[in-house]
Amino acid sequence: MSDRPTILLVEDDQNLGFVVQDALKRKGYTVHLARDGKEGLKKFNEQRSYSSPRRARPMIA
Amino acid sequence: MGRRAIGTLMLLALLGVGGVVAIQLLWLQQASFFQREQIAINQEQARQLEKQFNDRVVMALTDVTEQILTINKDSTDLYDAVKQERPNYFAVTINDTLHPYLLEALLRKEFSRRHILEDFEYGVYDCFTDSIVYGNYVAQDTAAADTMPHSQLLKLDKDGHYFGVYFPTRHSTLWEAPPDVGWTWIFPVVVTLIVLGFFAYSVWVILRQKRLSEMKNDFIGNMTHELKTPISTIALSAEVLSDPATMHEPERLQEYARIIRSENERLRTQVERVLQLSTLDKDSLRMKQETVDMHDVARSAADSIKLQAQERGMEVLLRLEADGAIVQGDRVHLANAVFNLLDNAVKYGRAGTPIEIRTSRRGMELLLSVKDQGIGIRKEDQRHVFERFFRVHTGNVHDVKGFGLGLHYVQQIALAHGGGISLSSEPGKGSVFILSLPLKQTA
Repeated sequence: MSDRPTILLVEDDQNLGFVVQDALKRKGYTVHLARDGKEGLKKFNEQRSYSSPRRARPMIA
Repeated sequence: MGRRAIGTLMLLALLGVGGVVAIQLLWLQQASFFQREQIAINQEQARQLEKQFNDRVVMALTDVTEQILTINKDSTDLYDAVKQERPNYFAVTINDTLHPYLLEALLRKEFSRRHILEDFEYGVYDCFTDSIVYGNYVAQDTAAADTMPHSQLLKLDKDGHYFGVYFPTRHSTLWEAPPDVGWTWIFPVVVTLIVLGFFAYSVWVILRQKRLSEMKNDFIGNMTHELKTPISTIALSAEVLSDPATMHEPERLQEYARIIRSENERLRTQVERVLQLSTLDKDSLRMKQETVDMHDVARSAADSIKLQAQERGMEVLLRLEADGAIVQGDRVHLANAVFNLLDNAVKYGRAGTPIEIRTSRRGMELLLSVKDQGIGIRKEDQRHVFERFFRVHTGNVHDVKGFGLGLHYVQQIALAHGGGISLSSEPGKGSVFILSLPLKQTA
């Protein structure tokens, strides 16, 4: 597990968040899910070893 | 249309309209100047002609008087005997009685000698009998003379004998009021006003169209965002489900089935909402006429929003205080309308604050209010919140999902039931939406 990078996923939509998190977990990543930017920033500061956040701001697209 | 294009258009239109107004004003000024000048010239000419005529008449009458004096063998010199009493009436003071026919003969002779060709009447005042002896109406056209009525000769405040000569066909231009200059300006002013009105209307239409197109763009942006999320979720779920490894995890299968169902439901309601709005637009919306208890509607709407509210730590308070809440209308649409209001209250209320539904009665109306303690709505936005596709622009719009259709729908439904919706709000404190509906008449 440790050779795989840890991912911080920030997604406000509950279902989409879960599905993405689950799909990434199945690929062997460690995924931290945050609901919004504030929570994401908090989690990022708690653990600075993430790869570049896949989504650094609330999904807009 | 871009901001710059509209700006250019406005500038050109303003220049054009300004030019038209300036030209009209200039033209008006010129016209009135020339008109005044023309009137002045005409008046001067008329004055000259009249003066000439008057001089001729005075000279003729002076000659007549002298001849009368000669005939009467009167040696007195009547100085300044001829007086012009009116523009067309001359009076001559004499010393003795006078026979009208003699006077007429003398007048005819002297007038024709001096080319005074106007019709005239004459009369002789006898101071012994205090009466006027009227002479004939003397016309150049003798046929017309008999049919002409006699004018009432002016009786003058004089002691002695006199005779008067009156020219009935002469009208002084000098004594009349100058012609009215006032009406010519009406036409250019009206035209200018029409041009200005047209310009203002065009500007209004352009700005309205611009607003509408902006709102439509916003709407499309919002809708795309709202639709993309469930689509991505379902696509990812399908990927997970098609992985053979998932087959052996029934709990996971269940979870994904639930997710797909809920996302599908979401898509359905969103499409429904758009469709609902397009039917509303066509005025083809048919309201059922059912007897609906709005208290029931409020209770069930509160029930269905409960989960959403709990997620945000909000409590829904019911204060159903109206002594009767039976209205005539379409239960489904009314329920949707109340739900929309609650939905907004949950979306825009501050997490952890309560939402209050209150009913009360005002005359023959039922008032249903939904109050939240949230971000509120700024004054300038309050006018627009019921417009279709309108969404208040905030820094973090996508906190809250929506198409800008909810309140428009509520308003349309309220209007369709003969009611209305109003709003009072203070930014930072919260909003109260008040839905009013006519109560059903109980026979």
